[in-house]
Amino acid sequence: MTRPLIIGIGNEYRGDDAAGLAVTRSLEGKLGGIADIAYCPGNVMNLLYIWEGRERVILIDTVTSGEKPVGFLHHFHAESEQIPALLSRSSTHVLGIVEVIELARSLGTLPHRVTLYGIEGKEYGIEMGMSASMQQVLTSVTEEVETAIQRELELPPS
Amino acid sequence: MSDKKTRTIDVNYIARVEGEGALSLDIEGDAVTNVQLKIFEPPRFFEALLRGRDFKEAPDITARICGICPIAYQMSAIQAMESLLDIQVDPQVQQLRRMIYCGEWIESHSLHMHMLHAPDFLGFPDAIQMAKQHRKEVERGLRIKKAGNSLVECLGGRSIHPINMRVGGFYRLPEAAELKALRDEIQWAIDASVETVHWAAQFEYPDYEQEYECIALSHPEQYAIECGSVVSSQGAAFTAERFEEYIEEFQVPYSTALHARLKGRGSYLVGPMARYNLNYAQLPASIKGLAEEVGLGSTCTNPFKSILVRGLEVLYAFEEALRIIDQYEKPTTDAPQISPCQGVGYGCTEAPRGILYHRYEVDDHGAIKVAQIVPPTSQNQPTIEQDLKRFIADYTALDDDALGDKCEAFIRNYDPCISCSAHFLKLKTNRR
Repeated sequence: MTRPLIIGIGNEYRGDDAAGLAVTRSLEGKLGGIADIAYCPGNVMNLLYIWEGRERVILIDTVTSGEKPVGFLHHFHAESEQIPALLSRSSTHVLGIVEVIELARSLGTLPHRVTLYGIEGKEYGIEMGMSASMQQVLTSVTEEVETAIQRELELPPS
Repeated sequence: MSDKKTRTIDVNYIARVEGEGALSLDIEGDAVTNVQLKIFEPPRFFEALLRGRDFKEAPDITARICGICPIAYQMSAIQAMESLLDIQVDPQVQQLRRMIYCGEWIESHSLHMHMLHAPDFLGFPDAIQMAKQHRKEVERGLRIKKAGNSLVECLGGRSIHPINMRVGGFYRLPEAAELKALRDEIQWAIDASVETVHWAAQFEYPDYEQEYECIALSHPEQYAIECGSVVSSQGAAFTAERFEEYIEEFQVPYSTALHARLKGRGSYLVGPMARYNLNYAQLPASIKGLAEEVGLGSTCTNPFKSILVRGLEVLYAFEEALRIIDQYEKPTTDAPQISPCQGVGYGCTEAPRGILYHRYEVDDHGAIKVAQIVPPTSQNQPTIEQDLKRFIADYTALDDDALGDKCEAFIRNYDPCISCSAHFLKLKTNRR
């Protein structure tokens, strides 16, 4: 069994889209001992290559439902459920996260277990730095993601 | 549809193109009277952002304009700065630049062919649905793209927004062994690329030959990619230094992207078909032979068949990469010491979607005073509008949804990159 792989997804230069990368960076020191950490900072199609050969993958990305407050944590088991297309933001990404997961499902290359933690975002302007609302909740979101992953991987709480 | 005689169709978001844009059609009776390709990604002001920055920063700043073709931006910027500083680079460095550019062509073309364009010919709404019935072909396309990623990663440090090229050379030159490690996958990809061209040749292509003024770089010794002078199918020939004497950008009120035209002549075509039509003679016999096998002559003027040309260019790019790897001898220095000087530098290279022009005015401290960038999609916009107007005239009886789908598929023939021109698609149809 390969080690779990945690992948932070996002664009550092598109406002709240950086949240998945920031949360994953914060988890490196805490979960790096039991899981491998990777980043997908550009074209999300590269996930198809990054998770090759992996059985258990945890994705951390920013999503937008437009129905939840900034920082709300969506949680999906992609191997057994379809992620609402609504969450795949229109962006300069070639395919969104939902499309990439569905493409992998069509090809039969989706890892055995794929969890998506989707952090609700709102501002995606071309700028460095997340919105004030995202920055305000980032620490608590990081703790929430960490606790959820610990529970998922059946680790004792830190 | 507002009434039977007059209608306006809005495609509010054009799917499966790079970036964000929209399309508006005016139809009076059965006649298409106006087509507007609207690019609504926000203006990105890179040219203003470059002012005051050091000349050595231009390649890495402009690379951020596009996640699909950063090498093109880096190379045009580097070429411009090196022309200004009169730097002659080591021939091996030039070959490595050509190789990383090949990697970018492969990444961009294979993505467009398999994920964005092929579903149109096979009747699928997207690559996800296509993959259920054409798994082998999609897997092959993904592996070809991955091989392109590997070329870029090896020479650029990473496959997304590579960071290893600089004015004068590279930050770190690769060892020959690092390049040779790519050989086996390139050998596989050469065979796979031939299979892909044969696969695409089986698609049903509309009979839609057009007359274009094609513009591309041309080079006496090779199929132009990273260097060459500009030539047109109507006989114009000029170097990057004279680009603005021949080509002018102009604003249209409905798009945040500038359009471009040949002064006194009008619209023109850049990209794979233009390159193929102008530089067919430079292709090796193996590529010409495959082109003949799939029914292409020395020219291609049917935009639907651009997928075949992209396939041939992918094959060529792999063959070039292999040649360069086998001839590589590591130079003694990564890059020479360079000092700034005042002046104007010009660069023009063949991005996957066509020629990409850069001009920089730099002061004696090396600070950029003026930057001008003309990306390929900006140049192709008027031609796309004109072509679409002609093409869609036969389909005005379709309902708005079906007409919108037809328009989107047609536009994908040109693989427009709205992020670059971004400067792309929602459809609005006005029927009167």
